[in-house]
Amino acid sequence: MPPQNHDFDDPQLTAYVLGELEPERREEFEGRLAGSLELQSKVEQLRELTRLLAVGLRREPAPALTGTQRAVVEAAVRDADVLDAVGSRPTVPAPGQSAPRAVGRRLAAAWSIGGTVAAAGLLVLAIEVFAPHDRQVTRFDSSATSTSGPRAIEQERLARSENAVRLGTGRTTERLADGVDDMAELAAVRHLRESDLKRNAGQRPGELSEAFAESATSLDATAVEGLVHTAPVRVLAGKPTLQQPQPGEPPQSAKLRGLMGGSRPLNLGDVGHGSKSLSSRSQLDMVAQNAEVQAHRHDVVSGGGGKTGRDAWGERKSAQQADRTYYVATPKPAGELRQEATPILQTLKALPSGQREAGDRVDPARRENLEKNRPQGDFEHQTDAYDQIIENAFLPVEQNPLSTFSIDVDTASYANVRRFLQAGQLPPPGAVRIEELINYFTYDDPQPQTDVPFSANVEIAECPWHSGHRLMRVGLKGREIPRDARPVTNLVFLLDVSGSMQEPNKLPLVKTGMKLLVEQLSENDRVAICVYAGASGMVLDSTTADNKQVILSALENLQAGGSTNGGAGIELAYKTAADHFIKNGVNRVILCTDGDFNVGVTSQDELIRLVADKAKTGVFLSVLGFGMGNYKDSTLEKLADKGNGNYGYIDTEHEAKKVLVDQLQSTLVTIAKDVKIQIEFNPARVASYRLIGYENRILAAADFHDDKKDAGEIGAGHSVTVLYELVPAGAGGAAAEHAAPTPEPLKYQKASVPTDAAASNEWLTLKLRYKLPDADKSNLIEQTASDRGVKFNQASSNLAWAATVASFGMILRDSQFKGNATLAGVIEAATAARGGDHAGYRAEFIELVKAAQALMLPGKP
Amino acid sequence: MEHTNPTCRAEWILAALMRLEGPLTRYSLRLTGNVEQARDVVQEAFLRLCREDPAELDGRLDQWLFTVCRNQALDVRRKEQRMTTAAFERVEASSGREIEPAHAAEQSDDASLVAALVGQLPVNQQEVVRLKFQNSLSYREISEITGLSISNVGFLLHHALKTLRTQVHAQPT
Repeated sequence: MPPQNHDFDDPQLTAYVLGELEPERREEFEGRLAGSLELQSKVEQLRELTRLLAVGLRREPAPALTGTQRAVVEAAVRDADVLDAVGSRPTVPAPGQSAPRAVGRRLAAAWSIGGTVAAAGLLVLAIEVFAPHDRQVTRFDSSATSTSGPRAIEQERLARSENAVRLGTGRTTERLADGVDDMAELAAVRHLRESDLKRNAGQRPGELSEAFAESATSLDATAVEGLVHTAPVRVLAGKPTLQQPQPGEPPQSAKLRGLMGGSRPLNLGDVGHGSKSLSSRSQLDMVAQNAEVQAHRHDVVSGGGGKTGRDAWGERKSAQQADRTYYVATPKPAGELRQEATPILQTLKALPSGQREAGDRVDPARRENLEKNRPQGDFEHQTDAYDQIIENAFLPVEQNPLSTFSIDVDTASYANVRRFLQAGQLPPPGAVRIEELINYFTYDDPQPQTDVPFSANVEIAECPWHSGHRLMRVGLKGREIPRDARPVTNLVFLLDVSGSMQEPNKLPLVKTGMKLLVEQLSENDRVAICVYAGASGMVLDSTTADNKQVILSALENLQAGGSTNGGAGIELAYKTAADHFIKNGVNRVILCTDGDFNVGVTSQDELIRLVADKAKTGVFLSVLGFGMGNYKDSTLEKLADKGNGNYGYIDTEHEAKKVLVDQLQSTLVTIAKDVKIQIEFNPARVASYRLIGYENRILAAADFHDDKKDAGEIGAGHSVTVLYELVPAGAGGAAAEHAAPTPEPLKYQKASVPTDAAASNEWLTLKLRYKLPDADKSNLIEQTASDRGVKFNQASSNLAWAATVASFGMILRDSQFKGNATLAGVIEAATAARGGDHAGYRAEFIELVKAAQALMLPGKP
Repeated sequence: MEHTNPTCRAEWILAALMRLEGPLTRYSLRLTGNVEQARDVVQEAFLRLCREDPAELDGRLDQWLFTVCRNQALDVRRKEQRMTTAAFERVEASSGREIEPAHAAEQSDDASLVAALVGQLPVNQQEVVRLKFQNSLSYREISEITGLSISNVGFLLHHALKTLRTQVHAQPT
């Protein structure tokens, strides 16, 4: 098994090596680093690359100004000084506030080493590059520079300039090889330069050597690292102590070979306390096999072997690195190697597979025929996990006057059912969520007329699959928001790039979908991309959507590979969303996955808790499921549910377009959250009722008033449809077939007594609770409805279409309640009710019904 | 601020000039494609520096100078509508740089190879790579100079390094 290469794709690796990782993430990264020799080797390789870049790029020509230009600037400086002298000009920063003083001190300390003007010049140079952030180094301590300063400056300038240089009033034609300012190169060209320096400065060789050795030594230890702002585990790269380099040792070449040849020495052994040095790949591998790298934190100051005489910049070191830690490799028996996180996969496998429906009354012959075309064989061994759905039964109104549930605008089940049918298989019953089938379609309920964010519409008509029963449709329609009025959006894509996503209907489709979405965004919107696999990481930090090319190329460069660490990925995504939180905007993490979370947050419960907590902070979660096989339908729906988000299943580019373009507003913009429905039925009119679908959305009656209870969301322009099958009071015969049996009269209580209102014509009172997206308190709306005796063929197309889709769902589930519904009847009713159907979704539905019809034909092999 | 010291101020500017005229010219050269224009840009930046309040620029002098140079260089380029790459070769030739034998040997080493590969990166990546590795600027500073977001800078660098790494490994050793 070749080592995974995806870590190089981890932007955190780059940020870490460049010293740009935020403390929190750095700590997290170092944790991973300590546990992975492979990662350490990658850090080291990348560090070597940055070192080469620093060396190589600094060789590019850096022309100085011309003499005339320089004279002009110097004249301007003198003019400025004159003004300064009369007090009308701003001044330099007071020493003591900023870098200059510290540098001055360093200079003074360094001064004592060389004791000569030329050495001072060199040291100024050295110090400056050691402290790349201390850019005002040249504000010399006045006592030190009063006589020798100008010469120190001159010396530095000699060292820096590659062309003939004019300095002040003097001119020198002496040249140094370019790039003495280039710390990384300094050691490499030491031999070359020394003679030049001697010549230039006219110093005694001994003094110069000492000064130079000083800078070269420092270089070895920290200078190069300083150039690339390297942070922690630098211990692995160089020696933390300040030993003199061996004379004649070629300083760079060995490490260069390592990078180029792929067998670079990893000086783990240089770390810490006399452990062995590992200088070859095989030794490294041995360690990987036999040892666990454990992180030990060593305080820099106590762990380092700082020598006296380095105080000049030792001060900088401790200030800059006080919060850094070193990692020390300690060999450990291999037996102690273990992974901490429990794979969530196991948790998921423990869930009921829901491949079979329990307790359904099905004619055995029919059952056999159904079984034949249910997914079988190899399919059985795949891990598509669907929670079993136990359909809501009829409930007598006298005992259960209240029906309470949370709305659900998910539509994933429809696409999933379509996937099965188009693949020539009947979907497992657990995959058929009737409410999601119904809500896949948009309905033309009127826009809200009041300031309530949605309209509520109730209609009762004849039930098409059971004569004598009535069918009630409750249609909610979210307020539509014009495209250009959409709030500013802060999106974090959390993309699963694990190995299982490699298939063409997964990651490539994710990319297609995300590109479609990005095209919809405007310049004020933000997009970030996080990925998770073996390691989670950020591919693209939050970027404004006017940088479409940047976002698109980031998407394009994604590759699948590695296992999944969903937990860490989700946390990173939420953090990114929080970092760029837009008040009054849309803040959303969009998780695209085939559902395989296997490392990280240890249990489904924990994952769900995390998502629910984050939803409270205003960052919502949308989940888009991709692919077939390994598809954890139940997990994804729960995540989206708890994350105040929606859940879609994308199996084709067409579907991607529906969810991410046509319905972008409703996908992104939540107009009401925690929407709960409670219906009180009038026992004088309704004997019993059955809520169709929403099985996993049922709430206790008391939860309706409890604002702490989470419920579903409505997006802008969203349609939500709820169907109830009602058994009218007083209906006998066939109509009462499914009516719940009336319990024995109670011994200690009398049956409840109807109120005056029961005598009215009202069949029910619909109560809706919702919160505005940023509110904590819910609002309540109420309306009543009654039956006007409408026949099914007189019903609105909204009710007719929903009823038709429900029939289809019940047939697919082989529901005990499907009555006399047939696929032929569904096709007929659907054809009558399809209406405008601009996008062709309803036509596609009819095709699916026909496909199911073919699969269910008796005698089909 | 009671501390008024003209000598300090002169030193401050001259020191910055000494330290940064090369890097700034090198940077501006990339943008203008013409060494004379680059020099003009840098000269102008330092003339402006003479009019600035040092206290205002405390801690961000380099960033300020690079930003001023960049803006001017882009102005120049807009006016001249020159092609950067074509002109740059001319600059290399005209910089009058003699290559010493020892230096020439270095040119063929890994560092030079990597630097040469940088030239094949997209222009925007080249710029942040040079600001980062040629001039040791932080993401934040590069962000201020280029007007890119910090995360964008990180993104560009990440991708540049990724590309370079792949290419380095692809080179015959």
